[in-house]
Amino acid sequence: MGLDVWALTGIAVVAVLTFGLGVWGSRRARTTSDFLVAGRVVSARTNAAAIAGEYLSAASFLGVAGLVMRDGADALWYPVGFTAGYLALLLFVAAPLRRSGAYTLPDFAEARLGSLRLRRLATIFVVLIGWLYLVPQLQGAGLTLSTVTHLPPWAGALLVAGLVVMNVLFGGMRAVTLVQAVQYWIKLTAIGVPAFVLCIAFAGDRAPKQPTLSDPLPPVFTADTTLDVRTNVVLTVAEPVLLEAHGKVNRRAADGPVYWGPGHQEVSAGTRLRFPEGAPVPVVIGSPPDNASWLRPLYGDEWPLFRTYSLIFATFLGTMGLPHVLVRFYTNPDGRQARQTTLFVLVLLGLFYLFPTIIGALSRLYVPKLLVTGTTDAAVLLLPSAVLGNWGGRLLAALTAAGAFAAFLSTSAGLVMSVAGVLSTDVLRGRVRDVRVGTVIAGLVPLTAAVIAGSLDVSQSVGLAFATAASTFCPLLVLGIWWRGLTAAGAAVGLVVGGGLSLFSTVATVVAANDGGWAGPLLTQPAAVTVPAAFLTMVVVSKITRRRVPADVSRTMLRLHAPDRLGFGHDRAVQRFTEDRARLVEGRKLR
Amino acid sequence: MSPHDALGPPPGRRDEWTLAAKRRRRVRVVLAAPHRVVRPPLPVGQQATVGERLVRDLVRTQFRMAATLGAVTVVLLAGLPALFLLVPEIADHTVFGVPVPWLILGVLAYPVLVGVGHLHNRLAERNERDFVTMLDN
Repeated sequence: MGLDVWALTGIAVVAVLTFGLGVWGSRRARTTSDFLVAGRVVSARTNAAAIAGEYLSAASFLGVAGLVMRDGADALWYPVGFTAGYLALLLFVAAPLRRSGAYTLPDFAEARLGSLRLRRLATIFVVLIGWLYLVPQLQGAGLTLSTVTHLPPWAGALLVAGLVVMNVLFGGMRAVTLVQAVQYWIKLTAIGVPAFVLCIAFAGDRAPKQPTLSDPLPPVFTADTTLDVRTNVVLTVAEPVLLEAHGKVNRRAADGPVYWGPGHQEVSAGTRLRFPEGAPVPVVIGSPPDNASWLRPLYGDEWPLFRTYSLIFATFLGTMGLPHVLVRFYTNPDGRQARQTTLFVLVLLGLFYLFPTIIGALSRLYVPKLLVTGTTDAAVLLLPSAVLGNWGGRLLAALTAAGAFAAFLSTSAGLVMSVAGVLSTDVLRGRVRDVRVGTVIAGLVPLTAAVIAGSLDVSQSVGLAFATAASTFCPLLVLGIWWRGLTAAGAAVGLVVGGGLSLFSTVATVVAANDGGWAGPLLTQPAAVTVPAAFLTMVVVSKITRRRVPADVSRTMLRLHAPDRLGFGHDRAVQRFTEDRARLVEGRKLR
Repeated sequence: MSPHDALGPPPGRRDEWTLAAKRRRRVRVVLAAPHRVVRPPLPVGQQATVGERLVRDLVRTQFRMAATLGAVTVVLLAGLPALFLLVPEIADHTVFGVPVPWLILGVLAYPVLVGVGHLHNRLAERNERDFVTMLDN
């Protein structure tokens, strides 16, 4: 592979474009009202593109195709869930939340329940979820850069973290809806065009020995393949295979030809494997070993139904609790527009997610070696060159690399900004310097974690972030918006129970992954247990502390649900951020 | 800064406004900060109790509508894994070479989600219109 100049150029173009547009945009937005009111002149469509642009992360761009390649039909739930999350947001949260005027989740918690302690607790979870979501973004960036340049993975993580922190520090990305909207179209092009072209190439390339995906056989290597295993893996061998191994297999040194019968093989990091053309492909443990079972839903003997439902729970309900998603809703002028925007987001996401599935399915045929190393997240990057060996393949590969970088940059910038904002106002003292310190901390912690932590799949760790969001902020938002009986105590205990359980399973999964093992479904997909637990706790504790229902709950409900034109929803753009706030207070005293 | 700023200069005072704009310094934007929630003026006395009942009704109507649509979606989508488990033969059927589960999850699910969202927006706005009409009466 060597150094891929084309792909590097693509990445550089995206980085420069993002930075340039950001700086240009922030020059134009000079005053406070420019900054906030910019949203008023932005149409719902542009706004929706910006939301989708920020939302489509490494997990969507790389992860979904990788999971489809490895897990087949079951993985299709990820993109469906990522999209359905916005439907849940639309049905239960969008318009009332916009009318509440809350800009962040802690803001909402305090405005609704009037407790400063609850606000602090919410702050902790916003920061944790933000970091949990940032780690896989940075790991994905490391993977992408090491795929196209052979630099070590930490270099890519460092590059993206550095770029994002600089961008946020210099006001580059700040609230520039345009940048995020452009990122959406970059990403759609970068996955749509390759999917289209490769499909046509695949249809034209029907070599007689080409296996189809419906055979009850494992995928096969289409050429002699040498690959380096970088992290410990356990492989499932379905069909006997003869190969060469140099390194450690089953904890014993191997150097030369080996024969693997059906069963499990443990391959240590640093081992080099050489498979001949036509050999059946062993796959990472826990995923379907042959094509027929890959094609069918509900693979696996360990509670496949539970795993699927838990995943549905986490993604449907987790989206509304992600810190960077909520912030974007403030750009809508009112509740009605917030609904309109969310509907467009659904359309844009649905359009995007048609393509990773196609790429994933083709990857199983053309780059099966990723199934052995477990780095299926690289499928999107490697497929174009594997299908088209000529310049066309290289061009498409450059396009996908650029799209992947757009994904890391936009999502990470949104997350770093949200976490930094919360850190600087709620943890530090909210001075200008604190924003800078907050930004650096917001980027540094996940960078460290990304470098130290072992390799989870991008989509899997994002899945855990979704599970945590679904078991903390989803109940807080839904109950807070629709149920008068919620108390601060109930919300707090619910946050601790739901968040604690899901964070515990996250830690357990990471530890298990580092041992090369495979954590059970209850730990990798905890949402089906933790979300109901959080809801139940909030309701029960609120009922017990019934006397502490906020006195102004009727007024809050009115503000959240009254139609926009009645003018109860308040707009902080005018009231809160102008210099004559003091005068406003004076005026009220006089009255 | 006056409330006019967001809207542009008031007619006839353009020069003054531009000067003021030049003098104006860049302001730091704080979007999230504790302790500063501004509450809108509250209708007092009797009005509040009547209004309260109306709002309760509106909230209930809206929630019932959203919950119904949510339930329909959940039944449609979350019913699928159970269906695949009970009727595994579905996976054997293909349309244009694509197995049915792939077609449903990979393509058809998205228009359904958009459709439910569209329906929700129409119903939610109708409920709000009804609410306003009722207030007017």
